[in-house]
Amino acid sequence: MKKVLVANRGEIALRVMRTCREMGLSVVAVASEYDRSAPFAKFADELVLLGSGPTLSTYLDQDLILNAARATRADAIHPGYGFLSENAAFARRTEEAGLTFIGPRWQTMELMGLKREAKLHMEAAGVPVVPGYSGSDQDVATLTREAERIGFPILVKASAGGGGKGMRVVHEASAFAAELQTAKREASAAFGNDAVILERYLADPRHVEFQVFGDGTGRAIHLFERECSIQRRHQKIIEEAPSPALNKALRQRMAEAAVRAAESVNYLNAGTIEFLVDADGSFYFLEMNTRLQVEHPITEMITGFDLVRWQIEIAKGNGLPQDPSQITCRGHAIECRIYAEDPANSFLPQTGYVARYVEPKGWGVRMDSGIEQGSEVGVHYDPLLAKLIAFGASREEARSKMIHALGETVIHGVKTNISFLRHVLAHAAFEAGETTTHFLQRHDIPSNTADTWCAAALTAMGQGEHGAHVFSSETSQPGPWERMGQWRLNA
Amino acid sequence: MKLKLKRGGEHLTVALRQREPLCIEVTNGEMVRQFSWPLRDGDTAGRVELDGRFVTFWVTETRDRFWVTLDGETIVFEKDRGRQAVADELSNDFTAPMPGRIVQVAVVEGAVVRAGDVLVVMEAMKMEHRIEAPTAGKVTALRCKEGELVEQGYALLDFEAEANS
Repeated sequence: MKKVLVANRGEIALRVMRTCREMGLSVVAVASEYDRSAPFAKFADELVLLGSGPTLSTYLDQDLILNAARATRADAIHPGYGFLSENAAFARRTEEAGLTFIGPRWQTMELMGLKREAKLHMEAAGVPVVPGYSGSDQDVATLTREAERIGFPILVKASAGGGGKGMRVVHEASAFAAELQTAKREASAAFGNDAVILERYLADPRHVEFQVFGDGTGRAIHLFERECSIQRRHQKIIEEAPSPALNKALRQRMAEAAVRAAESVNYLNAGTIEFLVDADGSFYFLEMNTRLQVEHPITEMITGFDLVRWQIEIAKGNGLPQDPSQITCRGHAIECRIYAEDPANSFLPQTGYVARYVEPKGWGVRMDSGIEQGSEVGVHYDPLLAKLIAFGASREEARSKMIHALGETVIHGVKTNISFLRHVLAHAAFEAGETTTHFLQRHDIPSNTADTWCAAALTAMGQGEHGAHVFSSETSQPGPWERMGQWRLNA
Repeated sequence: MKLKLKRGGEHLTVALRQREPLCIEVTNGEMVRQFSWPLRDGDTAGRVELDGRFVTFWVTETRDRFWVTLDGETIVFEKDRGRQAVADELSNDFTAPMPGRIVQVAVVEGAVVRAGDVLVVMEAMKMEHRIEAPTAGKVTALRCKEGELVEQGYALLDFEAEANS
């Protein structure tokens, strides 16, 4: 392996490329026209442009990506997360083109991509699963009978689903028929497959996932857990490792189940076993993610290992880089996802020009960012701008470091959720480790607490759009601010 | 010299009362507060004393907004170009911002125009500037012709905003 094509964009493309370069590999970026001067595109040794079409005909266009790999003589493809990362067909085509896919086998991706089959498989392998029904008989009468057997509240999920689409919570039997119909309709529209699975709905569980690596021959190891309970509409926003909810015994039981799950599919490369943990400490397999996770940096912080390096070593055929006895967990790490969105306005995605960008600094502070000053944040892609990671000797140290690091982060020109994240971290319930998946529904997060008066006064220090001061030094003449009132550049 | 800002339903006015030492007055409805900091005109990052503490700030102006990060929180103000604000500023200040040539006079004296209608187009520093009606109103006097060269500060026209606009 000499040259890796990174089939992704933004912060993750940059993060993967850095490790490739450290390992002496040259890197090829693919970028749409909108991304041609993005930091990741500038970082790569070579850049292949994918045109200005929608995602489907750029980052998701398998032919374009494979042609780019051939044209640049790349011998491996790293898919990052999202986009083609869990597309079994793409992994298969990569392999058939004689290239190395840095990730799991396509057969495993196919199996784990189907929630029902995945759950049945894990149940058979002795991994605890949420009581439910995931049979192939999708008759309404059967589903209704099964729902009554499992007991309400119940969760109806699209079998091929993800991201909350085709997912409904039904609180009582009388509402089941109507909600089932809606879930099937959504599932059909989103995934072209209306099969659903039923599960007991856990009232307020935690989301705890285990990082695993497999060597592809039936041996797997784990790198401890990440708790990702702080979610907004099924979208994780704050993750931490280790989980404040696990004691030593529970951690060991869950780790054993995760390793068993990975070994049962002869798992190759990096994967994540997601569990729901109930208040009583019982845990259930949720799904397996067959990719590098967005939140992988917190695992890197607490174990000291570079997960992308591991992925590449395994893809090269070098086996698992560490013996389990060498893998320990030290300290505590928290990650915050910085999104271009407006918390004051239903978290609507925001666009704009990054007029000022200041990253936080200091020991234990890591910013995995896809933007820089001057970046244009458009409507075309996911609004994730950057991930801020804070590491400390204890949870409290990491939390305090994160609050201050968020406060040091300045992004002007695009509205972000930075203040919102800060207030979640500062909340007494977060401080106490009471992080459950319904945290944001249960707690009111105070909005911006800055002194509006003082902030308004400071606008007087701002500079005009042509670099002139708002208040010109010659008081006898009207300042540019006044003049620009009626005058407009003919753009 | 005043800045008019809007945040949510609030309308704030910022006025520079004194340059040295710096004194800035903020008005929000009936309430007025004054701030005095050892800052220089144009400092867009630094620290200020607030309630007995020193806190860092960053200020950035973009086309329609001011972005202020203060003590780790970012507040965004919209530049208030609301009707009242524009009307207040009107005061027949349709003067040339710099020496230049009149490219087009799009209206005649006495013309009744709508907000946004182009009145005069001027070329200065190789760029075209368009003078638009800030509100609905009437061009009460016209003092320039196409092709004419004018000095900075020359009053191009008089404008009267429609009474109820």
